[in-house]
Amino acid sequence: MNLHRYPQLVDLLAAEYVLGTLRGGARRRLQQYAEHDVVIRKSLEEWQQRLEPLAELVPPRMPSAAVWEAIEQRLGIVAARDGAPTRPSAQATRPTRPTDTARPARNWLDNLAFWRGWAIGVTAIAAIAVVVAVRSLLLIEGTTTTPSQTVAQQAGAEVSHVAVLNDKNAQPIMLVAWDEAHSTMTLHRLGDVQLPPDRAMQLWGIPASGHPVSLGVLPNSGNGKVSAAEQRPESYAALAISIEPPGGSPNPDGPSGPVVFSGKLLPVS
Amino acid sequence: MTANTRELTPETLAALLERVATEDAAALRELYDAAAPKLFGLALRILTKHEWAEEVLQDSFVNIWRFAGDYKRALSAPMTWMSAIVRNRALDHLRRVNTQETEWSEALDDLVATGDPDPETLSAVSLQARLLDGCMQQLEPVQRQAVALAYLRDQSHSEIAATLTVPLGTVKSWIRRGLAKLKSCLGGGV
Repeated sequence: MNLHRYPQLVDLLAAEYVLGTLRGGARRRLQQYAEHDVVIRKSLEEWQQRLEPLAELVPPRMPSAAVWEAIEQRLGIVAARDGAPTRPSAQATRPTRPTDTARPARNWLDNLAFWRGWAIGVTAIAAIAVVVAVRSLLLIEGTTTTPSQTVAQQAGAEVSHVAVLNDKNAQPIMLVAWDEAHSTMTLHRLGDVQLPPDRAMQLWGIPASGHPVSLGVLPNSGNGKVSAAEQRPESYAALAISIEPPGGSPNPDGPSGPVVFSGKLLPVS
Repeated sequence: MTANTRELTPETLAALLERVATEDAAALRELYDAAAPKLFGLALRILTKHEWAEEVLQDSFVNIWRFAGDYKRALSAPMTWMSAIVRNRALDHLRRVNTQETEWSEALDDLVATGDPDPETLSAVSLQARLLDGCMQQLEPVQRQAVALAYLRDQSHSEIAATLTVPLGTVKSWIRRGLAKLKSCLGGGV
């Protein structure tokens, strides 16, 4: 069908796409058309600009003070708090460069095509071998004092499932320890993680059948804790990480960017 | 907040974002003081649970810190850019908890601010948002609700029909007419 014969239809589809009410197959088709069609792309952009400010029109509410404290903790910028509450003197609070969540280094894979089309798949045998190794690693960490955000420091952490996410060369990059009882996942970086400057890592649960489910955007460092909310590890056979725009994939049903790391999710005991 | 807040024009916010891009932690604090209530209001509206909204606000500021270097004044107003991050994070959270049980906690009609907005909060809002606000007020209340439920709660036509207890076809036509009206109000051909 030549959509251009129906400019009003195209415009309505674009509007409903941006609004979110265009769903399923129709949504995917419009997305496909847009990739090759500048008119559709322009229409989508215009609607994006029209509707995006809707998010600003909600009345303000005060968050609790704990939110800022948590942000400071995660970014390692606690020093900035010692100044005046709203406007710390620049001199006194020259921020220390955060270590844990340092910005992604420039010039990672400029060539994202390298990753593209890379299917989720990792050999189960390799994964199990690492799980065994990981179990002993977790035990060791439990007896030593390590810097913040290790599994050991979660009060009463009970790791129920683990996944070792490998890159396409089967190199382990990240360990995800899922504590089902506390609904948290702790990330341990095992290998080099470098992100392009304007991208984030998003974690996905891959069910035995059906589409991937987002488990959240991860800290760039590849270390730290994320909430599992009401997700259960039993629902997923594997975990995967994709490279996404800030805030995560605009597509609710799966990654929009390349899947770079993946691994089976296995029960620990 | 503080006397500072009143001067928070989009220009001030953009300047703060540019300082945040140089890893200036004090600028992040100022930006937080200025924008957090607005962004928290958005997260809370989408998620309704305080705990979830605070988690999303926290995540969003971590993202703002990381990606401030990508913010481009020419492409979007600072509040629009930050709101988009919060909305994406909040909708993502909503899908993760696949929440049928969260309730639309407040009066639907109050979804998009009406009446005289607080001038302090309005100053930070982008010009585009103020224009859109004016146009939203021209929609029928039901059209406004349907549009807002779709955009701010990620509801489908049939979910909106269930929320507002009206037939599916009615929702579709409200949305279609609402969008057409918004377009002509904001300017734009076809």
